[in-house]
Amino acid sequence: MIFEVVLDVFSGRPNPTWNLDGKLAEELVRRLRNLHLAGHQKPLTPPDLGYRGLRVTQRAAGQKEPWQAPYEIYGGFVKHGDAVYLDESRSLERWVLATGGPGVEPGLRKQILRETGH
Amino acid sequence: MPVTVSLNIYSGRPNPSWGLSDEESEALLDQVTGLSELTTAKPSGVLGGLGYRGFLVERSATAPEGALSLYVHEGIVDRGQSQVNAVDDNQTVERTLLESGRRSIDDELYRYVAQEMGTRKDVGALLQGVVITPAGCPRVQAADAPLYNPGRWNIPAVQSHNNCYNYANDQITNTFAQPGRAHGKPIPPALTCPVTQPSAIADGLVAVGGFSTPLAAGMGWYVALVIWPGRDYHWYRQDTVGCWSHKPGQTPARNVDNAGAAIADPRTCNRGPYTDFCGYMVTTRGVVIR
Repeated sequence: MIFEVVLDVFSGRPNPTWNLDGKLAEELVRRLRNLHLAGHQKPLTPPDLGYRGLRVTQRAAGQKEPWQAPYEIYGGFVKHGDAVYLDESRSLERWVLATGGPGVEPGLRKQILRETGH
Repeated sequence: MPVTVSLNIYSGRPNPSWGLSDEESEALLDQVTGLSELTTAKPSGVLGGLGYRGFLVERSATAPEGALSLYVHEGIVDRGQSQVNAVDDNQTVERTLLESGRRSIDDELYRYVAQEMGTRKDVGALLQGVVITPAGCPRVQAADAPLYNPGRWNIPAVQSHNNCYNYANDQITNTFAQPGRAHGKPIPPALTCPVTQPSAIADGLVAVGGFSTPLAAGMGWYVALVIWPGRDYHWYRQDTVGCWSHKPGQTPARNVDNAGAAIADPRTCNRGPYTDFCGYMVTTRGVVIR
């Protein structure tokens, strides 16, 4: 089980992208399963320019194309198809961001973490 | 009573037309009523011209459901005088109408219309040289300025594979084009104005002082480069309407800034973290990007 993570932040340069597998993938699944529906709360709309959230897509091993809708994580909400879930305290968002490791420039990560209220 | 669709395309011959089934009619109207973004713009097809000019969707006033008259073209659903028009994002309604006529038109005509849906019309020429400039937009001085047509860019096959630089140059390469890459002069990591602009110049863009000098046909149109210091770059382009538009990375092309306002000048619009304004440049159809 592999998840591709895209940090949607840039306009000209390609967005930072990395994979989660093994223990990290299992932890991601555990966190996703613990999410609750947002009910009447509406997700925030990210800005056009700058940090716009994280997009997580599951891929079957050896397959290039995703086999289901991505999870779009931003601003305390997680959108998956038509469903909207609450990401309390943006904890999932910060955790996924942290999994980027050296693929995400430290200064950029700090800037985004500040935006998430950390 | 059936809904009739007419494909506005011919000059001498009658236009092809066909009826929609009850299911098709219901699905189409659900699509139309689901459009939430409104616009005062009119599609160029209402002005006439030669070739593909959109679809007319009609239902008689004697129908139990009442009269219906929609004009669908260039990503706009024109609902007539008594209603504001709706934005047909990604030309979804328009494509549905084309597909509904698959059995009623031949393959060559189908392919022609499908191709025309992604191209622009010279609205200025249709208005006999009088370009209507929306309030607040500067007068466009470039004869080659592209038409603002987000439907061409905001489709799955294009959107995520083309970035701000593709959009500013109005070139769909599906390579997420980078300034200078086509000419062996990539942008250095520093990402400041002085080190980024030369890469665009290597591709053929020319730095200019502003966007008020007239550019004749063949001389290109105005774009602007901005920098998120040390992180990224972004481009805007000036369209035929005079205001500017842009495409942030993999996200849709749009004609508003980071605060949702129309862009009269990218130097002064809300640019989020792209705080450094490098300047204006001119690009042309002859520029090669990759």
